[in-house]
Amino acid sequence: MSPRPPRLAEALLRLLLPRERRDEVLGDLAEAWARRRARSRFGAAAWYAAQAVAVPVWLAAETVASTSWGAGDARRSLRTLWRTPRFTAAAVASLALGIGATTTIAGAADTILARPLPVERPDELALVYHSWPDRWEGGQYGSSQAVDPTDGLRLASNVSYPAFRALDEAASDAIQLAAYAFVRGMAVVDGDRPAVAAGGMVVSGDYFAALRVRAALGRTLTPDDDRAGAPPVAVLAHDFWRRTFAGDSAVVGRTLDLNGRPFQVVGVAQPGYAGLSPGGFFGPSDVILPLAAAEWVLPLTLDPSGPGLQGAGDLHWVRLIARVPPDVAVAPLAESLGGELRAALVAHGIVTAAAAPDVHVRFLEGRRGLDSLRQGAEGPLRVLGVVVVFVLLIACGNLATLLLARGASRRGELAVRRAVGAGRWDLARPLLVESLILAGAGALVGIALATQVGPAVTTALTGGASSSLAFRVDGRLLGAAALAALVAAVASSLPPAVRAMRVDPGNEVGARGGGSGFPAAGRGLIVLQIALSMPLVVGAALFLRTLGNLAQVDPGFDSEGLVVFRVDPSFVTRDADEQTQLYGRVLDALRAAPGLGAASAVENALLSGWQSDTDVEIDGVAHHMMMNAVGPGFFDLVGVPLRSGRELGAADRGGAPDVVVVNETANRRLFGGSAVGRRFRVGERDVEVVGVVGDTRYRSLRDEVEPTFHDPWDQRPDGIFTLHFVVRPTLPAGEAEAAIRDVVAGVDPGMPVMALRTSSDDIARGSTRERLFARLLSAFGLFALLLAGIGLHGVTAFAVARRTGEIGVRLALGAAPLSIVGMVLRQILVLAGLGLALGLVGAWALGPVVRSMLFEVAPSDPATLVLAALVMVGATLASAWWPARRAARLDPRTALAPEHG
Amino acid sequence: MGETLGGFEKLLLLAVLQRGDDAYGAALFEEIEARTGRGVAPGSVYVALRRLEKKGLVRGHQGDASPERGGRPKKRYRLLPAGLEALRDARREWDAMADGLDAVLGGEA
Repeated sequence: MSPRPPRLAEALLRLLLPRERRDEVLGDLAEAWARRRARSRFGAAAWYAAQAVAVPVWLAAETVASTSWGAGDARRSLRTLWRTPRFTAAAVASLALGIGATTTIAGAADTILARPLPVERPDELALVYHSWPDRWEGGQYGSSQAVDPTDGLRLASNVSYPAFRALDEAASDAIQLAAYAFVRGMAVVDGDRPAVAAGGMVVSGDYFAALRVRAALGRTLTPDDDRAGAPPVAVLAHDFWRRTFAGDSAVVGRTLDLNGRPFQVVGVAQPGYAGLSPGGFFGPSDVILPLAAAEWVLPLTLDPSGPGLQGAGDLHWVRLIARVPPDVAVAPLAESLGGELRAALVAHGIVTAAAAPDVHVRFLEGRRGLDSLRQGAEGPLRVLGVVVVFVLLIACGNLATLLLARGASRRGELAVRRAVGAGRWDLARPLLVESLILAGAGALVGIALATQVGPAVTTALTGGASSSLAFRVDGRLLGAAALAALVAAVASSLPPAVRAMRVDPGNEVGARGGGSGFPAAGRGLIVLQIALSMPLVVGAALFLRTLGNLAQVDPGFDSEGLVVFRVDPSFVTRDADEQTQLYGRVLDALRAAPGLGAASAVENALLSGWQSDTDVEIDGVAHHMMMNAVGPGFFDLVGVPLRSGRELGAADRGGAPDVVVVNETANRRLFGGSAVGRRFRVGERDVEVVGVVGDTRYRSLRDEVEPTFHDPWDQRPDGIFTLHFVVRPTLPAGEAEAAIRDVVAGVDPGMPVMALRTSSDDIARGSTRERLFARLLSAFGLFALLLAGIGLHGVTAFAVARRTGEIGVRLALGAAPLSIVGMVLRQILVLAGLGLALGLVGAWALGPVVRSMLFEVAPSDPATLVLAALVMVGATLASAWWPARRAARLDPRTALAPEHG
Repeated sequence: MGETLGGFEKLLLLAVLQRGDDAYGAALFEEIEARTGRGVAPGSVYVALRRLEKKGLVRGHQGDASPERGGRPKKRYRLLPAGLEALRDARREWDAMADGLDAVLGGEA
């Protein structure tokens, strides 16, 4: 016997080829394969396998183009769908949810993880980092750290200005190198209007040219703007310009006060561009200034007799970005720049000549800018990705079940058509066309759904980033929806199509009823649906319990009606003493203002995600403690009970004896329950404990209470870095906000009120992600239950219908109706049990992925798993109950009438 | 003669003519590959043959089976008079357009 072509490919061809072409094509390909085989066995097999796909595609394309069977099938399918509106609506709705969910998460993931900076050819951008093994800790000002993905080398972002100049000199032939630094906050004052807080960047003169960011109005910055003595100028980001100046083009040419210095606005940058960090640790940039202006807007206190920011070789404050043309080899360039950097560092005495060889320059991918935003969102997105694929598969499984059920009732008709010469394709094709129509409609609804939910999901995962990360409907999103729809169409039509193709005219014509009921494929689909639903139901339960557990946590203070905000006196003055005085004047003014109730201050607002900690020395033993400076009367204001001693008061000021109040946990763990009157060391200070207050949650509700001390905010030797003001206003919210802004502007109009919110907002924000997960998983879990229920109901009803005769006989022979119900339910429960077991295994396997997002409940929590299983069993019984009842109520005479025989 | 032939259709008609009585799918792949030195996608051959049948340029009919075909019958194609005429038209067009260009195109057609 002569050798045969690869069997699998041949079987595929047999399946896919229309009957009238089958012999010709299979014969030709077998012959051609045999010829090729003489040259190369493997080549021939690969060629044949490729043809198994290519030839049917060619033929299908030809058929579509010439005979428009697709249109004919589509017309027929549309007519069928129109006549069964309930089926159609249910199918479209479930596919819409599956496709919509997939599209939403794909869109959010694309937006957050993959969207490049809105600049020309972003792929050419590279972040230029360097390794600094010898002096990793010291000397760096706010450096970002990174790891070279190729070899794990630890890298830092910041270099000194002279180092940047040296690198730029060396690299300017091959690449465009630009320097920048982030400005986390500055005050923008336009004439008499109140100050506005803004974030921004300072950039080297060729930054805009290197990034190819254009101006929407006026011009961008040029090297001339970045020279010493050049007139101070600023470019506004488009978002900020629209938000703050209502898109008034007259602002170009106007002079604004930035931190009290005049800057002329020379332009507005192109829409969408908001700096190199669209969100995350560094927010969007609102105002872009030349590097030369850095000393006025960076929170640095420089030695006035020193060389200044531009001259100092030991102040590492600028970051580097490069545009690397595609024809430039990066590795040799990085190597030569490494040499320059080593020389600069050695010349300024930063690194010893012996350590210098360990300094390397590396180019990291820069197309998305800095990526602190992505790191936090990756994990949740991965979980959501798994969830939506489950939802899509469940929707497909449901539609496949419905199509199977309908197909099963048409087997006789299919067999007849087959007998008179219809090919397998002719029977399967209408199912595919029908699924494609349903999935297309589902995709349209799904896209609409995604546009509604997508923005909320994206915002919840990014915590509010620039408009360049806005969720939007673009080609990629539509592509994702189309792909999901195609997968859904193929997946849901495959089981019924295979089933239809297997119809054998010899066996089926004339045969009706009998058999065990539902096709095996249908039972498999039900098991699959239940198995996929289980992890969703378990996940929903876990996140609902997490939310419940978080709500149960006593924060230790009364957040109701507390309003919190921040001001930054460094916008107005660089003098530390003056900054302290400004804080004090704001506090006094707040206390004196009518309608704002009591007022106090706190370093880090409670439950806002921030905390400070330090090493202390108690009786000669080192301990680690949380710290949070407060103003007078803070504990009384926020409702933290005083346990012993006294609260901090107006007399505990800078210059007065250093005192602290500790929390109960510190009192118990570090002071043996008798802290009042004891002393300990904090840095240079020797402080006395004057009181013990109740425990409060500090950074977030999730964090355990740690030993904490509270010092008066103006007793910090170097001044306080951040201070929040806390009021409990008696005025309604809107008026209170206006009153607060008036009070602060009255102290100094150059200090904007920043981050004004209620304490309850902070608490809510702390569980945004948990609420998002609980909400999505509950919705998806319910949806999965509903679909599984519909499927089970259909299967049971179908099984009952097929066994009408048998049931009639049993009833006629005296079987109790209840035993009939039991018989039917038993069958269904076996399927449900199998699905449940598989689903529990799935839920267990996926547990570790969500563990870190849960609070005080383990992913394998037995009570939750049992509860979810009970819900599934309940849903199963509920959906199978009615068909089972109907079976038990059959009238044996009708059941045994001839047409059911 | 209204329609002009596509390049691949011309190749295929010539291949059918070359093979004479033995023009069926696998033979045509081989003929084209051997003479042009290019690989040919079987799917495209079937699609083009169907088109040529529709245009009335070739006709296919069931042939005999052979063991190397796994016992499957061939479908043989024969050039119809209109097919021959179409090839002659194409040749005339080519010659008319290429006249005097031998220096550029190299050799005779």
